[in-house]
Amino acid sequence: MKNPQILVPVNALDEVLPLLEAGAHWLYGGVLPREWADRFPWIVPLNQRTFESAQFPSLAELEKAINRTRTKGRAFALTLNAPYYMDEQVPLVVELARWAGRAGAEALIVADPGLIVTLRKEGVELPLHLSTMGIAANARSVNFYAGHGITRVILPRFLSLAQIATLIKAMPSVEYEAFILVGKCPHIEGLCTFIHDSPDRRWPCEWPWDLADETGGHPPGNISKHFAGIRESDRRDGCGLCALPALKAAGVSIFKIVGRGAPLERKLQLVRQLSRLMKEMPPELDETWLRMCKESYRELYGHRCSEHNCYYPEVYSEHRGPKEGCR
Amino acid sequence: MSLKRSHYYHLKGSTPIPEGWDGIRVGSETCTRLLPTSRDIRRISEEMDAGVLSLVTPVAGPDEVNDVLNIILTSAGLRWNEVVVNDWGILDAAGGLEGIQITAGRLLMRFRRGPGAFDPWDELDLSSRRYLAWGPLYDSPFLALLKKKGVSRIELDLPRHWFPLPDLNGFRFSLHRGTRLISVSAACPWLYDTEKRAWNPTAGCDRTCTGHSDMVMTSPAVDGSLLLRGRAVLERVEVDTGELKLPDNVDRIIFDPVS
Repeated sequence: MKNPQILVPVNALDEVLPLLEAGAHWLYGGVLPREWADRFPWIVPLNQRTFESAQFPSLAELEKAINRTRTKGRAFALTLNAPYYMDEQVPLVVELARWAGRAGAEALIVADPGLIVTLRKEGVELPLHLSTMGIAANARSVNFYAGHGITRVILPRFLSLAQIATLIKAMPSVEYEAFILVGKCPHIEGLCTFIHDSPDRRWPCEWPWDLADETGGHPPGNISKHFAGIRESDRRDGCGLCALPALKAAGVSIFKIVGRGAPLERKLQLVRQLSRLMKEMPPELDETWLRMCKESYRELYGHRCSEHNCYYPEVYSEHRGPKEGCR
Repeated sequence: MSLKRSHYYHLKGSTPIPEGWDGIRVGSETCTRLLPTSRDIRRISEEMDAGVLSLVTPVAGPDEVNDVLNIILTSAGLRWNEVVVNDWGILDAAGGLEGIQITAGRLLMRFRRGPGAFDPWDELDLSSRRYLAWGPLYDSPFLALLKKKGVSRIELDLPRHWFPLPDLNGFRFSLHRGTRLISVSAACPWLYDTEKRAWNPTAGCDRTCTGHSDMVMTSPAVDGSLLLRGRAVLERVEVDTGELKLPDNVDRIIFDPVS
């Protein structure tokens, strides 16, 4: 079985070499060409980021970044993963896709089934990776997308390890990418219509929500606890490190670090930690491995992990031990 | 032109379609555990001798998708008129079925309905307003793909600001009155086990959520409130659809059970 590779976001030229040297194999990022930025406000996204620091500042800088990545024998994927594009936007998107091919990108990350069809129709031959915004949560959906040219599926975050294994076994003909660090979303992002435009990047799912029963009573205790847990956790402290052996065994070949727009130092920390753990990964979960992962979590995030930050909470629950409580 | 009205019907109990209603909907946009069984499908088909019967289906996990398809296949051979689909894999498999109308559900359509930190509507030009209000309906390749997969009807809910619908011949539209669908919880809040500090498996769910009223969600960060219904996050919509200028091909209004 091939060793999985690390994918991490990049948004500036001077981030490329440090991230690759830290252990990244794939870089991904986005850019807003002038023509798009002049015509559409932030709330009309070209890719799934509404803030400037998540984008490369120019096509010229992105091209250099792609070149630099290729020079080191690694790969870059361009994000074109808005959930839909109107007809008037499509020519800009197709042109950017063509540009990415000329610039040396290895793949496009896409979500809109209409765009997927159009890219092939327009002769854009770059491999297409399906964003979680495309929601391929079962083998039939993967099959549908594969039939339209998708060669890699970024697994929806809500799938359990068992579901991931079932899906990959049923559809082994594409590659699979799984979230490992940062950015745990309390909602199914491909089905979420909250607008992510807050300048402090605290999205609506992170706002403090109070719950009350519509008839005036208290909500059931577990509902209150579920929401309290989301409120008290920081979704940026998402983690799936414990599950690495299971993900590898299931056939996941790319481990994803989230965080377009995050500071370089932070991304380097995450890549180095993940890279180190991947070298020490046992074939199956064991207590030594779990202890190592939990220590890594504390190093990375400054506190103990919880089920609300855990990408695969079935692992957390089974192995947390009787004395572990909320942080 | 009078609009046909469809009412959300819950699996609890079995009654004829109430007077004044033209059809019933059974199932869920957001949860496979709220789907009828094949036996329910047959029973309802036998009991309802008039009106439109709509089966509503959600996104399915890898271990659920074939079960959902089996329920759809069961309905296709009976008096069921419509299957509402929100999953691409299910659409791909069910799109060719004869004798049943395939409808693209709200989640498949991907409309932007949620609140954000700001409401920029007043500053937006027409193009951006189109994007926010009805953007997927201006995505021609996407619509062509739906057509190719056998979709003849599309479900809508109302944008945060009214904007005229495009003229889209070739599709009929069903408009949800009462709520707009904002999001879907990744882990079902009703399955959270406070002792285990984990979410119980979906397979063991006994539909606890159906015995409760909606939960009202409020936040200082946003005006108004949202609703938690099962694992769906909804927003109540107060607009009277009778006051809106709707094209002729919007010919069905869907009422939520508590609207």
